Order: sequence, then structure tokens, then C-alpha cells
Amino acid sequence: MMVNVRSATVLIVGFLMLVLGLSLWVLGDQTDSVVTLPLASTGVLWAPFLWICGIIVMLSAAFAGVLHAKHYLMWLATLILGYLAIFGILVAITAHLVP
Amino acid sequence: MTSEDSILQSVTKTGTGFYVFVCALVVLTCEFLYAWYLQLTTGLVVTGMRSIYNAPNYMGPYVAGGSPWGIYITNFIFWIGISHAGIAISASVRLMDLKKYKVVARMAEVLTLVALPMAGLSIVFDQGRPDRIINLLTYGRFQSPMLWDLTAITTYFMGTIVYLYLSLRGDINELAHRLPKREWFYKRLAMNYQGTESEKERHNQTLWWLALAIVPIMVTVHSVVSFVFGLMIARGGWYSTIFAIYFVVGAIVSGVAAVYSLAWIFRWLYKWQSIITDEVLKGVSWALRNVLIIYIYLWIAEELTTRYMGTSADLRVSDYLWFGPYAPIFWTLAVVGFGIPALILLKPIFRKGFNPKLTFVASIILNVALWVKRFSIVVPSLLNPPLYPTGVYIPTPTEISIMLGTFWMATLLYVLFIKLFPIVDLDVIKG
Repeated sequence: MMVNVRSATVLIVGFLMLVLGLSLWVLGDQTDSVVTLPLASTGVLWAPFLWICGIIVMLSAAFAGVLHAKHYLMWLATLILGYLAIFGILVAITAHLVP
Repeated sequence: MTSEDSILQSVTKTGTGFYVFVCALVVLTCEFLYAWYLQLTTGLVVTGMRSIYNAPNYMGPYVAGGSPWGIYITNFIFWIGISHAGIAISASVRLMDLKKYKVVARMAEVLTLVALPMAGLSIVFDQGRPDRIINLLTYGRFQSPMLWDLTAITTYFMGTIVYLYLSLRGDINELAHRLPKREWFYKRLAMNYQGTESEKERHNQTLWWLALAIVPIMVTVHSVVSFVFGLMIARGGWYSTIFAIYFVVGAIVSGVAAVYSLAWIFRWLYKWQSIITDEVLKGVSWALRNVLIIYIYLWIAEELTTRYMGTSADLRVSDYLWFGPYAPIFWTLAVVGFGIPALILLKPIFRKGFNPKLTFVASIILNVALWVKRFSIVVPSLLNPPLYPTGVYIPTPTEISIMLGTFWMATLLYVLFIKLFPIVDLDVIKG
């Protein structure tokens, strides 16, 4: 029972992150309202970040049901940081080579 | 040798052949890296890709141009298609409780895991400035099918990792006990897995739900790939309502064919005739035959609609394929690429007897044919832009090296995986 509650909670949190990221993105795309949001003023690209993390968190709900909390968080961090690292490494290497 | 030992021989025994094969792949991968280095430092001018028109100056006369997309984008569609096999087959086996086919499920899952990064890389190769790839996220527009693609592929890739780990966790724990030298590695990776009945049950339940979620994701992935083409009204041959299903079915054909090829190779290599039986191979070939028939039907429907009532732009591309410079490719594709494999796969209906080796040949031909089919979808439409004369596209050796690099890397990753983990679920063997 607890396992199901944990998985369901992670699923809902992931879904909310995804919707929030998408909403910020669409708002930013169509109006200036996103600029007034406190999140936007931090200078971090919150909309795509939240959207990507939302997808990963939703899928990680499967892990939440079978792994201990410590291991679950390790996996979650690996998935998110690993995904962002792909972009980071590609940009870092190619930026040095492209004239 | 027990069945379990037989399965684990890919992990436990390493012959000279393995090292030679891996060295060859490493050398080929280095050659690819050099070709990519050349492209990055020189620019896309080292490829055969060109703008759709190459006028000498802005106001000057139009001269024949080229194709801005070539074998990289072809490769992208191909790898996405291959990736379909994995989780799709595995999820179908789990959802429909097809126990007999569980022996090929992991081969298929790993195929997805290695194919998706290759698809993503193919897009990176196609970019003149890959250092700006992050712009896809920061300046992406939700109206663009490109961004739908990124979303779908990300979701599919992450889903694949989660699914594969969960299905593999029990075997990792088993390996920690069986291979004391590598215990530290497997034990950490198993993350406290005890292998109790309740734990197994919980994993199976989770995998069932994940499989249920993954099937629509899989359909979405290839549908949005087709939207990159199908939602473009300005290119002859692409603007079609049938494209999404056409791409999805094509992907299933190439995926199932790839899984058949792999199953046959493993069976031959490790002498797994009693594990991957004729019956299993026959079942996979049966699935391949059925999806191939649907694909050929959709292809004929697409050609018939275009030839009968197509717009002038569509007809121009179609003429180029049927009677123009691409006719040898088109008709070879139709007769050799699809006709012969279809005959091989249909043979067991009319004559008794299933020939696994001949079906293996058919599966290889089909995968080559599906690569060429994607090429014939991408390039001719770009070579025949409305308002401009027909262009020319010839891939350069550098471009071909980079394209082939994805195959070397995928094979290398696959081989390294089977050195670390069993390619057949040990639970299946235990029954």
C-alpha cells in the first residue's frame, strides 16, 4: 500500500512539474508575463528544465515503488544529471572545435 | 552445461575472437571520430548536402541545387525505427503474457537502448553548429514537430532505461553471487535487491504498468518523426495523412527484422538451439511477415493515390522516383528489398517447413531496404523543390564514414553490454 502511495506521489509530482514547465514555456512564448514571475528573474531556464525533469520524474515513479529512498534519489539524480550532461558535453566539445 | 551456464557464457567466457572484434570496432569508431572532427572543423561543406538552389548570386539565374538533408536524417529515421523493436516487443510480450518469446525480450530492449542515442547523434551530425544544440531547449517552440520529437525521444529513452534496469535487476543480483571477482560492481548495481518472492512480484507489477505506458510512447515517437515531414506542405511527396501510420509500421518492420537477426546470430554464435528454438524464431518471423504485408499495402496505397490524383509537386517527385535518376534505386527496392523478403516470409504458408537461415537473410535484406526506403523518402522530395530545378545529392566519403560510425558505435555498445549482463533473462530459463 505504502509502495503504491509513494509511486503515485512521484507520478503526480512529475506531472505537475511537466505542466508547470509547459505553462511557463507557452506563457513565455506568447506574452511577457513569464518575465514577471520570480522564477524567470533567477536567470535559469526554468521552463525547459521543469518540463524535462517532469518527464523524468514521472517515469521514475516505477523506481519509487521498488527501490529504497536513498537508491531512488540516486537513480533520479543520475537520470536528470546524465541527461543534462549529454547536452553539456556535446556543447563543450563541439564549441572548441567549430571555428 | 546447464541452460543457465550456457546463457552466462557470453559474460563469463571471453575468447580471442571477442578481442579481435572489439578492436576492429574501436578502430572503425576512431575513423568515424576523425571524419566527424573534419566535419566540425571544416563545416558541412565536407558533406554532399547543399542548399536547394545554388544561384551564383542572389539575382542570378537558378542553377541546380542540392539536398539540405541527406544520409544523416535517413540514419535518424532508421535508428528510431530500430529502437521500436526493443521495448515494443518486450512490452507486448509482458502485456500479452507471451512467455515463449521472453527469450528475445532483452535482446530487443538493449537494441532500443543503443539505437536511440544513435538516432539523437544523427541529428547532431546534421547540424552545422552542434555547439548550439542547447538552443533547441532554450529557444524551442512548441508548435514545431522538432520539439515534439525531442520530447518523445527523451521520454522513450528514459522509459527504456527504467524498464531495462528493472527487468535486469534480478539477474544483476544473481551475477553478484556467481562472479565473485566482479561482485563489488554487481552488488552496487543491484541496489540491495534480495530476490524475495514479494520483491519479484513487485517488480513484475511495476514492469507491467511501465509496459502499458511505453506502448503509446513508442507509437508517439515514430508518429512525430513522420510529422517532421508530413506537416510540411511545401515539399512534394511528404504532405500525406498516411505518413504517421506508414512510419510506425515501417519502424515495426525494421525493429522486428533486427530482433530476428540478433536472435539468429546469438543462437548460431552460442549454440542456443534449445533456448532460442525454431518455434520462437518462427513466431518472430510470423510477426515480421504480417507487419511487412501491412507496410507493402500502405506503400502501394501511397503510390496509387499520388499517381492517380497527386498534385503537380507530388507527381514530380513520384516521376523522379519511378522513371528518373532514382528509378534504379526505387525498383530495386521494390523487387529485391521488399519483394524477395516477402516471398521468403510467405513461403511457409504455401509449403511446409520453416527455414531459419533463409529468414535471417530476409531480415537483413529488409533492414537494408528500410534504410534505403527512408533515403528515398527524404532526399527526392528535397531535390525537387517547387519553383526550382531538380538538384543533385551525392554523399561524400566523410559523410558516409560519419553515418557508418553510428553502426560501429551501436555494435560496440551492444557487445560491451553482453560482456557485462546476460542477454537472455535468467528467470526465463529457470521457468
